[in-house]
Amino acid sequence: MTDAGSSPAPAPLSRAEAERLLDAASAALALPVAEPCRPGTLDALTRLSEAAALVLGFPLADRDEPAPVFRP
Amino acid sequence: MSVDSLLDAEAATIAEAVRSRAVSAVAVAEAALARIAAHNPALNAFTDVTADRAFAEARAVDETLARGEDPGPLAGVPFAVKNLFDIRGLPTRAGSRIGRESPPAARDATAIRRLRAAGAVLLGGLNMGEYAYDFTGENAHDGPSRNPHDPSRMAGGSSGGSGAAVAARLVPLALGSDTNGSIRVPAAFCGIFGLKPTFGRLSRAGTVPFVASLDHIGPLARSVRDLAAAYDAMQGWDADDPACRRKAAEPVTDRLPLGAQGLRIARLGAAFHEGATAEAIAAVEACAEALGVTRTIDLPEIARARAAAQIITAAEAGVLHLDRLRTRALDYDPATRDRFLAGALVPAAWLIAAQRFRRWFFERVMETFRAVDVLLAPATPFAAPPLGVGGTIRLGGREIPLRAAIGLFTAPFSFVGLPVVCAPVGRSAEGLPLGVQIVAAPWREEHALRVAAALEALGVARCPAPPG
Repeated sequence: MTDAGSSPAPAPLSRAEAERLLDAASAALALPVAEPCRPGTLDALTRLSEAAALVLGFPLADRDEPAPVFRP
Repeated sequence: MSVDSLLDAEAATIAEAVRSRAVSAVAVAEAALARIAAHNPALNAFTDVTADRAFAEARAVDETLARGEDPGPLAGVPFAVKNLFDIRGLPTRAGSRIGRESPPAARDATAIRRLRAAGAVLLGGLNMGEYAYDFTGENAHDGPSRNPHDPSRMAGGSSGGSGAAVAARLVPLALGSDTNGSIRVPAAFCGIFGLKPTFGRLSRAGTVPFVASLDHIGPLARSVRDLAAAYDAMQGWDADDPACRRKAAEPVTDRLPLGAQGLRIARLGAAFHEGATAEAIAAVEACAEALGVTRTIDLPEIARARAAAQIITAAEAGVLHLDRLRTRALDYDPATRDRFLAGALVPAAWLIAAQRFRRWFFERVMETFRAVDVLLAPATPFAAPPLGVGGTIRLGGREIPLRAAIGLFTAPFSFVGLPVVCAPVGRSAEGLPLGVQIVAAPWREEHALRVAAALEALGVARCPAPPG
C-alpha cells in the first residue's frame, strides 16, 4: 500500500453542522440530549471538531497503526 | 516534637518515629484526624473520613511492632485517596452523585492494599472533579476542593482533594489519578510533588475508570523521598488491571542519592512557552540553571498531540458513560455533563485518526529520548485561578476555555504514557505556587525522581508552607 493522497482535511463544524451531527448521532445511539444540555453539548462538539480538523489534517502513512491500548 | 508537629514532617520521618516506637501509630492517626476535623471545613479536601478503620489499622501496626515484627517502610503513615479508589465498605463516588448510590465496595483498590501492606494507615476519601473530567478541583455535588495557599482559588483537578490535603498537611501522602494532568495540575497549584508513572506501571484495579487508554494512578507528597517510597510500595504486576504491564518492581528509593549525575537534561522550547506566564517559564529556567542545563529541545506537533488527547478522552469517556447518559444526564455535574454527551457523539474516524497520530507522535518522542534522558517543562501555564472563573485564552489562533487551558502542558506527556514528576518550583506574581514537569522516557521513573531529588537538595524545589 502507498500513503494516502493529500485530500483536503475537513474544516471544523459550523454551528448548523454540529446541530445536524448531534441530532443524527444521538438518534443512532438512542442518546437523548435534553434541552438544558444542548447548548453546552454543541459547544463541546464544535471544539472537538476543531481538534479533529487538526488531527485529520496531518498526513499519516497506511502503516501508522493506531495505539488503542497504549503500550510504551 | 509533639505528635501534631510530627505531621508537618515528611512521611519517612513519621515512619521512623513509629518504627522506633518514639510515638505510636494510634497517636499519629489521632493527631491526623484532629487536624482533618479542624481544617477540612475550610478546605473541603476530604469527602469521607474513615476514623474507625484508621484506628484499627494503626493498632495493628503498633501490635506488629510490639511483637518485634516489621510493619513495613510506611509504618503508621497516614494517607488518603481520591474518592475514585474503592474503599472497602464505602460507595465509590468518583465525584459523582450517581456513584454514591452504588453499593459499598467489597474490597480496597490494589493501590490501597499495597500501601497498607507497607504499614500505611488509610484516613479516608478525597474530593475530586466529577468522574475525573476536570482540571479545576471544583465539584457541583460536594463543593470545590480549596487551595490551602488561598482558599478562594482552585486546588486544581481532578485530584483536587489530594493536592489540598497534602499541601495543608492533613496527611503527608495521598493517591490521585492522572489522565491528562490530574495529578500534576493539583500538585502544581498546591505546591507539592506528584508522580504520574509510566502508563501500565501501577495497577488501577479497584478504581473508577475515566479513559482506559490514558488513565494512570500515582502518589502526591511533600518530599521526593515520600513520593518514591509510596511508588515503590505500589509497584508490581496485577492481574486485575489489564493495562498493568508484567514487569518486576524496579525500586527507586535507594537510587535517589545519585541525583542528576550522568543524566542528559534539556528544557522544552516554544510549544511549552506559548500561553505561559513569565513566572511559569522562569520556574523552568530556575531548574535549568541549578542543573547546568543549556540545551533547548522542541517536540514536534504538540498542538496536534493535545488535540488528539482531547478527542480520545472525550470519545472513550463518552462511550463509557453512555448508559448513564441515556437515563441520568441531568444528575451529572453541569461542568462535565455536556462534554461527556459530546464525546459519546464523536465519529469513529476522529477517534481512530487520533489513535493513529498517537503512535506517530510516540515514535518522534522516542527519537528525542535517544539524545536526552530528561525534559523540563512548566506544569501549568499559570498559577491557580480563582474558583468559578470562566473565559478563554487565545492560543495558536484558537480560543481555548481557560479551564481547559490548565492542562495544556500536561496532556502531551500522558498522551504517550511518559513518567513525569511535578515538582514545586517558584511563585506566581500573586505569590502562589507553580510546578515544573520533569519528564523521562517510558519506564525511567528513576530518572525523573532523581532529578527531582537533586532540585530538592539544591533548594530549588520545595513545598511552601500554606499561610496560617
